[in-house]
Amino acid sequence: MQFSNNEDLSRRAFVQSIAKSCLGVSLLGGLESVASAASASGSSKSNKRMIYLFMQGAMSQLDTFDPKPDSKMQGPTGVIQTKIPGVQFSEHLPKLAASADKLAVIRSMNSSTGAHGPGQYLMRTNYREIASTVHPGWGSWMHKVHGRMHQSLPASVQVGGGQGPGYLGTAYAPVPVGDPNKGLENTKSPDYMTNSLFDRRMKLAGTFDRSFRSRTSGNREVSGYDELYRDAIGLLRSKDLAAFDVMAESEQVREKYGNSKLGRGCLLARRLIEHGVRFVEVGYGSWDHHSDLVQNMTERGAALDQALSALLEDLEQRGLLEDTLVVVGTEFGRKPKMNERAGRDHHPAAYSCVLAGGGIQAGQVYGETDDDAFYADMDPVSVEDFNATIGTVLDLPIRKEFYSPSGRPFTIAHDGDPIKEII
Amino acid sequence: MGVGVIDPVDEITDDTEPSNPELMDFLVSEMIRLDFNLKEFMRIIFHTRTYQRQVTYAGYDPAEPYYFPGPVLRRMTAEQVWDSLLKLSIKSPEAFLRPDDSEYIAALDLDGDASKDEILAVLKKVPEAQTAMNQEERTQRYQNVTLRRASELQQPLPAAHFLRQFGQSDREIISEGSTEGTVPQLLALFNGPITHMMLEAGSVIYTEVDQAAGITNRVRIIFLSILGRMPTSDEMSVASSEIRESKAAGYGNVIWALLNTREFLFIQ
Repeated sequence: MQFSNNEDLSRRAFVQSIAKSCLGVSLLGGLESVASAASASGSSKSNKRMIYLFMQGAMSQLDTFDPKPDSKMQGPTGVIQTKIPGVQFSEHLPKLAASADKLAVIRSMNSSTGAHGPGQYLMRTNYREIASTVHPGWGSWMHKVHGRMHQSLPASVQVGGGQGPGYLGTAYAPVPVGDPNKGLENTKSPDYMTNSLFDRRMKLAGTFDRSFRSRTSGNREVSGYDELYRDAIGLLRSKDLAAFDVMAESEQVREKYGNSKLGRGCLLARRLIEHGVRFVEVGYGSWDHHSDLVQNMTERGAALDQALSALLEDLEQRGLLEDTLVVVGTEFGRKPKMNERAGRDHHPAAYSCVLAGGGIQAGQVYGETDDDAFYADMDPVSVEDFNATIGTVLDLPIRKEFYSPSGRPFTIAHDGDPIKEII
Repeated sequence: MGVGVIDPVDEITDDTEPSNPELMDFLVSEMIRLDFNLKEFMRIIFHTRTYQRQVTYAGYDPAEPYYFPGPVLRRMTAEQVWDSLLKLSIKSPEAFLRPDDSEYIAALDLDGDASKDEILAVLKKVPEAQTAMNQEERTQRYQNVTLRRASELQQPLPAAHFLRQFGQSDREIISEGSTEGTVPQLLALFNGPITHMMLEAGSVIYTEVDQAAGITNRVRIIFLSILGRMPTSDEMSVASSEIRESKAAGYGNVIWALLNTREFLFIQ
C-alpha cells in the first residue's frame, strides 16, 4: 500500500511541460499541486479519510436503527438483538447487529427541514441553502485543509451524487462517478493515440483557446478548467487508475459487498480509500418509502446491511478503519404512524445516523427518541452538532473562519457542538 | 440570460425581493398580457437588445446585483453539448425520433371489463411491440450510444450517460441539473465514443472537410462548424502548418483540439 510519492518522475515532468506549453498556466501558479500534491493545497499531516454513505430519500428510523417493538407504531418490521447489550436493530440489519460494537448509533437526530433537496443540502454542508453562496461538502473541505494523499488520484470522489466544492472553487471539486460498475470511463485512448499525439493535440487546443482565455480572465468558472485539465491529464497517466475498477476484485469479494449499487459503491470506496483518495461519498437513493414499506425495506435494508458490514470488515482487516470515518447519513426520518398506502411519510423531528471508524468511541447508542420514535427526547442532536462531530473526528478546524469570494465568513461547525461522548 | 430577476428561483414568499422591481413589474404585466404564453414570452426576450448583446465575460457574482448588461457567460447545458456534438457527427439528427410506440400503447390500452381472451391477446402483443421498439432503437446506435437528440432520449438516463456526466438532472428532485465542469466530462471529450465518431469517415464534419478544396477553406469550415466563427490569421497559420506536417491526420488533430477548448463549451 502506498499513499504518496509513488508517481514516477517522467509523468511529473510530462504534466509540467504540458501545463506550461498548452494550458497557459505558469508552473509556480499552481501546477505544483499536481507535481508535489501533498504540500500544495493542504499542509496538514492528518491521515484521516472519510466514506459517506448517503441514503437519499430519508431512511426510516423505526425500520433500521431505532425500532420500537413495544409501540403500535412499529408496524410490520420485526426487531433483533445486537451485540450491544439491550440495544436492538430492525430485522433488516442482522449483519450490522452482529457487528454493532463497531458502530456509534445516533438515535436523536433532528432536522429543521422536511424537504429532500434542502434536507440533503443541510446534511452535506451544515448550512441552509441561500441565494448568494454555495457551500462546500466534506470532500472539498478535506482537500482544502488536509490536501491530497496521492499525486494523481483525486482528493475526493462521489459515487452517485453529492455536494460540489461551493465557494472553495473548482480546484477542490470532487470527481463524480456515475456507475460504480463502470468506474471512471473514457480513460483508455484509441490505439493510434500515443502520448506524444495527445500532447500535440493539447498544445493545439491551448493555442486555439488563447484568445477566449484572455477575454475571460478573472472568470472563476472558466479558470476552474485549468485545474480540471490538469487533474484529467494526471489521471489519464496515473498508474493507479485501477483504483476505480471494482472488476479488479475477485467475484467472491464483490459478492461479499452485494450486487446492489450501494454494495458496488462501497467496494469502489474501499479501493479508492486504500489507494489514497481522502473522501468518497456513495449515494444510495429510493429511501422515500411513502408506500409499500415492507417490500422496499426488505430490499434496501438488506443492501445496506451487507454493504456496510463488508466495508467495515475490510477496512478493519487492512488497518484502515482507525483513520477512516464511515458515516451513514440521510436527510431526515419517517413518520411513525403508517399511512394508508402501507408506507411512512416525511418526518424531520427524529431520525438515526451512524458513525464508525475514524477513532470514534464505537459500540454505543447516543440519544434517545420517545416511545414511538417521534421526538428526539434525550440528548437531541441537530444537523449542525452532527457535522461538528464529523469535522472534529476528521481533524478539521471546525471553528476557524473561512471566507467566501464575496467576503462572508463561514465555519465548518456552524452553530454546532461536537458530541463529546463520541469523539 | 443566465441570471434570474429572482435568483435562485423561489416560491415568491413575502420576503422575496426581485433584484430589479421595475423590471419584474414589467415582465409580470407582459406575462399577463400574453395570457401566460411562454413561447411568445421567450420570443420577445430573444428579440431584446439586452439578450442579443455580448455576454458578460467576468461571470456572475451572486453577492453583487446584476444589471443585465447582457447574458452571463455560461457553459452549454448538457443537452446543448450533446446536441452540438451530434450535429457535427450525423446528418439531420432532428430526423431521428423515439421509436414509434403507438403499437405498444394500443397493446396496453385495454378496457376495464376486458375478457380473458382479450387480456391473453395483449400479453402476446406487448412483448412483440417491445421487441419492435428495441430493434428500431438498435439501428440508431454507435458503440452502444443511441444517437438521438437529447429531447428524444428517455429520462432519467443512466448515471454514466454522457448527458448525465455533463450535468443533466437525475429527475429525483427538482433543480438537480448542473453546468459545473468535472474531470469525467473532459475525459469524455478526450476519448469518448462521440469524439471518435466525429473523426471517422462518414461524420458530417469529416464529409464537409473532405468535399471542400484547399487547406484554407477546410480550416475555415472546421472553425465555423465547431466554434461558429472564422479562425484568426494566427490560428489559420497554426492549423495550416499542423495539417501540412501531419497530412490528413492533421485535420483530425485540429478538430479534436477545437472540441477540447473552453471556447467550445461556453456560450458567448
